Amino acid sequence: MTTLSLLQLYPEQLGVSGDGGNVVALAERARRAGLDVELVEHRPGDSLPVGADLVVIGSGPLSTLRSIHSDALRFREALSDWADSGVPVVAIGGGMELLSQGISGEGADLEGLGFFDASAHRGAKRRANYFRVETAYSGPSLTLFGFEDHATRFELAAGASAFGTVITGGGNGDGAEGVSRGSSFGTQLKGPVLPLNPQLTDRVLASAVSRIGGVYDAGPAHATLDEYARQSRLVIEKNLERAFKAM
Amino acid sequence: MKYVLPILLGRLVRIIARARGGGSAYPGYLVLKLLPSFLTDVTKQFDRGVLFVLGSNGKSTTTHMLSDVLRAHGLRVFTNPTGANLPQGIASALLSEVSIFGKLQADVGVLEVDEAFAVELSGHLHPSTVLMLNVQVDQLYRFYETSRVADMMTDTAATAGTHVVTNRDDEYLGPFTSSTLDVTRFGASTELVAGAPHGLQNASAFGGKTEGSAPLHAEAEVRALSAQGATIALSRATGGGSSSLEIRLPAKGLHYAVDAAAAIQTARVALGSEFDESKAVAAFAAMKPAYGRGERLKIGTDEAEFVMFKNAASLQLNLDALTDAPEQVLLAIDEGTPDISWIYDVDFSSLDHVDVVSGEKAWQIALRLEHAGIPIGTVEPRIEKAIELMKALPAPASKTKNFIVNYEQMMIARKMLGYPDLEKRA
Ligand SMILES: [Zn+2]
Repeated sequence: MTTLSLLQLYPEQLGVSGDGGNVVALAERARRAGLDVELVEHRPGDSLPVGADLVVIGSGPLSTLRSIHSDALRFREALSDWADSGVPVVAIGGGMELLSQGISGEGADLEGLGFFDASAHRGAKRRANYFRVETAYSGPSLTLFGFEDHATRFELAAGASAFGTVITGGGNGDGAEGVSRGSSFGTQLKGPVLPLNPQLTDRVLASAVSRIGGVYDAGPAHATLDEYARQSRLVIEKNLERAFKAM
Repeated sequence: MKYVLPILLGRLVRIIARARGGGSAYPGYLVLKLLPSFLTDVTKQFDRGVLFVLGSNGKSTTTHMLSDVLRAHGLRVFTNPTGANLPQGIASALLSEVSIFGKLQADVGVLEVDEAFAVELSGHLHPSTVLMLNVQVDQLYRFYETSRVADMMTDTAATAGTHVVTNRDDEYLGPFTSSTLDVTRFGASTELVAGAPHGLQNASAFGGKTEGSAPLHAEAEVRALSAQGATIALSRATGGGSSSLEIRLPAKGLHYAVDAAAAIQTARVALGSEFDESKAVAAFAAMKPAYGRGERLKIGTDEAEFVMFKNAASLQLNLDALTDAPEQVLLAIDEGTPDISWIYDVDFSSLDHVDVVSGEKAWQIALRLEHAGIPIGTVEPRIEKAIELMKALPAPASKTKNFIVNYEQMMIARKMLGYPDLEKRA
């Protein structure tokens, strides 16, 4: 049986808004497809993992990004090498910003890992709303639903590609959303994004599993998950225009 | 005489708002517009001043406990109803009790205060004592940074007249000190916290910890939990004797015991030498649960036990307080809680099934539970129908049907079970 090694970076620090849900969705769907899943968590001070088949880094506020910053910089080469060999890296919110060239504005002055060729500018208008995005990540166009909660303008360098297009919400601030690099991507989609959008999850898993010579197929064991996710997205779609008051 | 017109107007608006079925803060808003000094003028009549209760979680419960302990000492207490913790809500609550000349017969005000408005309210109400309960990851869509919430609380504490009571076990709040204020602490013993499945759910001050500093003393410390209550040890940081109180708790769970320790310690500093341990114990013995916190209401021949939560921390603490997997359980969240990403941070393993999931977020709850392998009976987004389904289930051996709900769903459910608006809503 194929074993998929799934690495989550900083589960406590970058895990305050359900980021573990993305890991749970990947692991659960992989298991239901008959794969073995090995979960690895990296915490500040741990030795660098030798490798991984799939990497997830979640979101956190600036104070916690600062607290793991020096530890995270140690991944600069490794993450890049893994991604070049086809390992998908999924980065959400603050995690995506940390993997960019850097975070500036509002007193933030944080060098990034340069994994994504983009830069994050804090101090944009705060957004807390439902979020609808279209992406062509690893296949034909997909509509994704989730929640958006940030105050970042995310600027892609010339030549970098966005993860998707904003249909409803703020995203990067210019109509584009997130950033992609091969089978890796960063996004502001929360909710969390992977349980809510199983087709995206399946594309991530298909990339990761095919790289290690396995086959990933969603089947009847996934039907209930898919139905609950579909119904959840319908409710979000109905409430898309709602905005939530920030202070 | 300057009070008569604004108060009459506010009252009138209140009557209209209530007749239309709203528990509205608008009357308070109106009075504050007409009479900006209203809050200050009314509360300065309280001989014993005003006490603030701040925290991410447990404000209502603790305000309720502290009020009852002070009443047991013979004080007349003015307090604000659950959730009416913004300036206009507090003004509305005062409006319902003042005479048209602005007089209010109370000795002390015990007020739960929203973190974001606490410093501003302190400017009007001049609290003698500020109690800080905890900083938990809460409403990130509103506050962005947990550390910002901590700063709001400690900035407010610094404006206290005399006393600050803080949580020894909270990384943000425990270290609070002041050269001019009397600072004391409450907490739970290391053994109890270590034995709780997911601890006390206080937020971590990542990177902000002061390593190597001397351990902090808790003048009121929870030492043991029993089926009915808790043991709370009382002492002073230096000198003086110590004693141990056995109190009954109005609801189950370590977090309620910690709230009780906080309330008792606050009553101790506010009452000084008048504090009487036996009166505090008697107050807890007679205490009813706060609205929706372990409250039991009749449902057919059984009882519905309500547990209300508003975030991952309070949901986790309430799940951890379950002694056995409930026989019959409803879990409901609606749009009152906009982003529920955090349900993936919650460990639901104390449930072996959920009979009905409900609220507009029902499908998202179902999705989360399915990922955790917890079987679901029915997904029914309409709470009214969901309650009918719960009613229709055969009588459970425990005689208890558990309702785990957010605030808005609780309000609807209570009403449906024939308990409308029991709470004094200003
Ligand atoms: Zn059942």
